[in-house]
Amino acid sequence: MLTRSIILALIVTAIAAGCESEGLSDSGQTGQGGSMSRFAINGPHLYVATNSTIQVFDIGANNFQKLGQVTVGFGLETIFARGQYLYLGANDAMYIYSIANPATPEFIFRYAHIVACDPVVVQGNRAYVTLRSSMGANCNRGVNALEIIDITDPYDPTLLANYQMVSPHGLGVYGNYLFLCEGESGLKVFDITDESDIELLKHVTDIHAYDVIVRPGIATVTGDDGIFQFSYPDGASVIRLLSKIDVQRQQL
Amino acid sequence: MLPKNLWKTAIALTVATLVAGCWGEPYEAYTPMAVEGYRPEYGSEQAREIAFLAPKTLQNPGKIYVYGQYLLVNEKGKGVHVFDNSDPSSPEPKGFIQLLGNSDMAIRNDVLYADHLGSLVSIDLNAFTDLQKTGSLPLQNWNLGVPPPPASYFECVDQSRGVVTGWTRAELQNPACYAY
Repeated sequence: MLTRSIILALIVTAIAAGCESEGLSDSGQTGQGGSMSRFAINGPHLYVATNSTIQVFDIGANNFQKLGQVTVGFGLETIFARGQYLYLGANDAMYIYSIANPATPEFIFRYAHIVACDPVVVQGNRAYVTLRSSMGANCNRGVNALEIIDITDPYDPTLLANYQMVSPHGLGVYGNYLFLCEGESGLKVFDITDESDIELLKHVTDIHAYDVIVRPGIATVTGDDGIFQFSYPDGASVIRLLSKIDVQRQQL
Repeated sequence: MLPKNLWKTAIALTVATLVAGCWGEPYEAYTPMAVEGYRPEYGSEQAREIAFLAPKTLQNPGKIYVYGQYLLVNEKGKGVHVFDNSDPSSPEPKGFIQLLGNSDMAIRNDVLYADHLGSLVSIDLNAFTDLQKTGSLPLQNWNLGVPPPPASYFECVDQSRGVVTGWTRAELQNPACYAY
């Protein structure tokens, strides 16, 4: 009897915890985009990152409507919503905005220590950012790296670690696994348990990887040579290719 | 000791040579020439409609999105491929949403939000059986159409002919536009 009560209590707790992590009660059913997305949904609001602004839409009702827009700066490329914050990747900074008041994103911090060309994803109190030098006029600063940033205090983010990469693009994180797309140099999977010394578990070199969606047990990777789906962790091997959607590449 | 005037001439000549060296290349653009480049394709009225078509082959995949059992893959500037991804070992093509100019998407409660010709549109998915556009609002500062391939000459875009849906390789006579 006691055991049954404990199990019941555990189940209730688990369900409650599950609800909590889902955030607001009016979260609705949404999907998940890659780290390169310019669209982010949080509750009944859609945030769109244009080159210089965040545009806010109310998508709670049948007819969606624009609530407003906030000017951020130039060179915005990606947006990521988590909890009460928006994280924007620009080509010279990472921006943090509060959406405690969802209709009016409020500036919190501009993290400009980095010279970034690519996205930011967040898990818990950590932001993971890729910095990439490329042929683009705004990005060619000779930096190719993954940075792990402590965002416990969003008003004072601090750099925890910086790892040299080859050509990092999109990234995704789930639990202790971090997937990093290295463009034509493939896909890397890291164990990030020890932040000061992350461990490369697997490097898939025979694909082009530009962005990734990481869900429990499944990673979906996009590149100009195909859409690849991997299962992870998969027994003795870290990841295993499940399928490839072919691309018949044609010059735009 | 050179006469003063000769010094002036020498300096002027040196400066002229340097300037010509620096700006030599653009001069070629003013002399008629035939170069390999790209010519814009303009969308027809039909191409501008939102439509759910039969599955297409991926050519230039862009962003990706997962929603429940579905996997969506952007075809740069053209639309969205839809796959039934119930079994990630074998994603099944469901169809192609024609959305000219598209790059981004997100879904909430079976409604797709995507950019279409520089506007944000909402589309009722109805489980991908009968797609219905339900709303549209302009997006400001949003890229329109498909950009030309980088590092190439192209025939300048004539806005009056509509939105650029793609680029065709062509021999161009003295093109005035170049994509960096």
